[in-house]
Amino acid sequence: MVFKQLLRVACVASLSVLAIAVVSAFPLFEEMALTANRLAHHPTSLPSQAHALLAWVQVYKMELTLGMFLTLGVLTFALFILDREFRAHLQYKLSTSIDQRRFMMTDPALLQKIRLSRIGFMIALVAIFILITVTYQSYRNQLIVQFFALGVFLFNISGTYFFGSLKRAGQMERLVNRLNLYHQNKDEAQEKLVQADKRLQRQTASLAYLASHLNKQTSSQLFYQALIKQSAETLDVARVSVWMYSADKQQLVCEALYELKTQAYTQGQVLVANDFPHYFDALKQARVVVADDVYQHSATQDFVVDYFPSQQIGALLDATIWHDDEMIGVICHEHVGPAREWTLDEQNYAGSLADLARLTVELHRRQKVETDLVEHQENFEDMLKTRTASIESNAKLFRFLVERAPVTILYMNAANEIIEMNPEAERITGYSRDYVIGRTYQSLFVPEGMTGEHEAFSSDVFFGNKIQGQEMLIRRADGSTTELSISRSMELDAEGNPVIISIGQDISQQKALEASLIKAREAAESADRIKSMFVASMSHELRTPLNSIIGFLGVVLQGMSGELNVKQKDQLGRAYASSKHLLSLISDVIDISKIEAGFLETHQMTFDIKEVMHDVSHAVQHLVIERKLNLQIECPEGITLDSDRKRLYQVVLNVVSNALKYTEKGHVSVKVMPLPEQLEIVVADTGIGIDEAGLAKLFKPFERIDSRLKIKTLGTGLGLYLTHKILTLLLGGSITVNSKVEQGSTFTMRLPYQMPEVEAGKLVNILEGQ
Amino acid sequence: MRTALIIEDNDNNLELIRFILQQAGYRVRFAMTGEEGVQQALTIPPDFIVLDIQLPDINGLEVLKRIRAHPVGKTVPIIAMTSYAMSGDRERLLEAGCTSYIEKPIDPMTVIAQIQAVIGKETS
Repeated sequence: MVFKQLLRVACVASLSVLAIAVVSAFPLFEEMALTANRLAHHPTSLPSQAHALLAWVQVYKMELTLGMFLTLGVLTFALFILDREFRAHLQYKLSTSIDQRRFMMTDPALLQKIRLSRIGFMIALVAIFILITVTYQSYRNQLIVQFFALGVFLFNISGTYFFGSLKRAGQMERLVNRLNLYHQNKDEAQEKLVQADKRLQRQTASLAYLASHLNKQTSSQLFYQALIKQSAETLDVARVSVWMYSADKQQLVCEALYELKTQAYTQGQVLVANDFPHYFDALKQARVVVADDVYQHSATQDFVVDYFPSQQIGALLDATIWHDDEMIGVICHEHVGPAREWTLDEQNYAGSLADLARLTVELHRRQKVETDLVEHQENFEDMLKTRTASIESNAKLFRFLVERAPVTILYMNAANEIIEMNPEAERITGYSRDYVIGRTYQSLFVPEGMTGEHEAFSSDVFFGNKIQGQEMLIRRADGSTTELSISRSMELDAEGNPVIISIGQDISQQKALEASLIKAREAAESADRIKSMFVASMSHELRTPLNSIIGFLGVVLQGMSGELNVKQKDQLGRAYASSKHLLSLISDVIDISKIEAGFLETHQMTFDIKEVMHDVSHAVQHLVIERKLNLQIECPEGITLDSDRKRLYQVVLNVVSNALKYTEKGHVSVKVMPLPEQLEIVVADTGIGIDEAGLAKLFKPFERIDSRLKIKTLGTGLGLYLTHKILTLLLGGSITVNSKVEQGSTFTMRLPYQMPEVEAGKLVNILEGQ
Repeated sequence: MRTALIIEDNDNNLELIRFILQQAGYRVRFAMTGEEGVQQALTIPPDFIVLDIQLPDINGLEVLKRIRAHPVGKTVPIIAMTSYAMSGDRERLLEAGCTSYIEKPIDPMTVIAQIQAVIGKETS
């Protein structure tokens, strides 16, 4: 190219030089011709060749001049051609530069050279014209000079034209440059358009890809991962993440975070609303938060100090996810690097991603609802099946119950017309089921003269009261009556109509049984009365003569009726002792029979145990003295009992006198000890003791322990038996014995401070059980 | 000499107690039914009364109550006599106004001691 330019300049320059040379040659020729002519007249001064040349110039002077003109014309033509060619070249350049849209700068140095050569050309022309004009004023042949001047003028014109062309070419070139610049801008714009187009295509493709994965099979986690990966690649963003609000809206939890560089996913980070108030506020107000430069944007000022510099984040594009007019999360694009201008399509893309995220949330929520619904429906169906089966089975059982129940069952409507009747009712009333259905209860079952009672009964039921076990006389088919215990209530059937259900139980047998029981009880009671009267009269009748015997014997023995001799005194003393023994025997038998019949009366009173002990001590005094024994009684002060004083006295006396009777030497000790719940009385002796066989029958009636002391002691054989009965049955206490043969016996009695209430009837039962 | 009224239906017992009291130096009157006893006690007031509880017509408790109900019999000492008293008899009798109480079978010495304790020793 440069070479071509140089060649072109060289052509113009050489042509110009040649033209100048040719023009300059005219006077040279003329001078040569004149010199040759002068020399011809002086032949010695010049060689022959010079003469010949001069002669040739002299001869062909005209032809040479014509040749020069011709040369000038050729030069002019050449200039013209060159100019055309130059213009054609410019045109070509213009067209190609437009077609190919190629940017081409005009070389300023070349333009400078062209300008310089043009100035040189003009100077040369002016110089030549002056030279010619000055030199050839005196030139002889004016015609030649005129021709010559004409030639110079033509040349001048053509040169001017040529350079004018050059100037226009320069202007054109500038125009072309401007055109090129315009095209270049246009290209850039188009390039941008193309890029935007490509971005849109990529965005659309990625959205389509994501939409295709928006289904039930893809879990929301997987979908979020796909979403942020697509977004990071599509928008070429370093980090993309999905955050969801916690239930209390106080924090955002990262569902997934993708880093483009490492292609790694993380999750679980938490942003607390209170820490980033501006950011959270901004999210709530916009669909997309666009921060081209995070250091300038108001929404991201919470992160400026720490987070952005550490992560080198320059731009942020956050698209919020909304569901039911409520913000539920955000998709966050973090651009690493300098500020970045987020294009409108990118913002829209981010918004679309948020929509997809919302759709997946909705999808999974709906899916959950659907699953729950299906499950619920299945459960319901199962339940329905079970319920139906159970209802059928219940209905079967119910029919069975109604048919087999040993009670009469009647169903009646509000008008007391029989709807249904069971076989037992047929059996008892003697009516057949077919006969009674449709007839009224009154016409069938109500005996004459009982209508009023039945009506009161019916209306009572009709007003919602339940009748339970009302005894009623009803009429049978054969006109006889029977008594039923009737329970009746009103229920509503499936249609809401009142149904009266009447259940009757045949109580004729029960009534008969009751009557016989009452008779039996009366008989038993009269027998008991007879027995108790017998016992009471026996007690009196037997004792009265004995009392006389003992009393008179006592009088005689004490010499009130006159002195007795020793023999009489001894014999009367034996009679007196035997009488006393007989009296105590009778008393014990009466007591036992009364206890066993449940007629032994108790008399409860509050007393001090010490009094009882004192009485006992007093009562056995003669025995102690007689047997030369030592009786020790330990009793704390102030222990009161609420019990039967006389019976307790009887019990303690019996045990203590037994101890004294069966002890030959040593002592008998009585200890009264108040325990928390019971009073304990321990009677210990150093007597003969009781062997195991003896212990076994100790508390049985009419058993006397075999011992060598048998003959020496007096006793009824009922003492311990009675003691045991009184203590356990009347006083609510217990008696235990601990004994070793030849070492002594210990009787431990325990009784409550408060005597239990014993009913006579209960006592009878207790005794019967023994 | 003080006078005792014995109300006792059983003649053996009556003889026994009469003998003992006479031996002890008391003048003795007697009645063999409750009604008669009450009448005697109120018409010719004795110095003290020995009353059997088990009487054929009206029982001793009732006799006791009737005597005590009358102004004449309000203060006269009454010694009740019962054979092997049931528990509670003693309390019932004392509550009804009985001055003292003897259990059968009676021991002559005990009876005399008890009567003397109630009415004071017979000095004459």
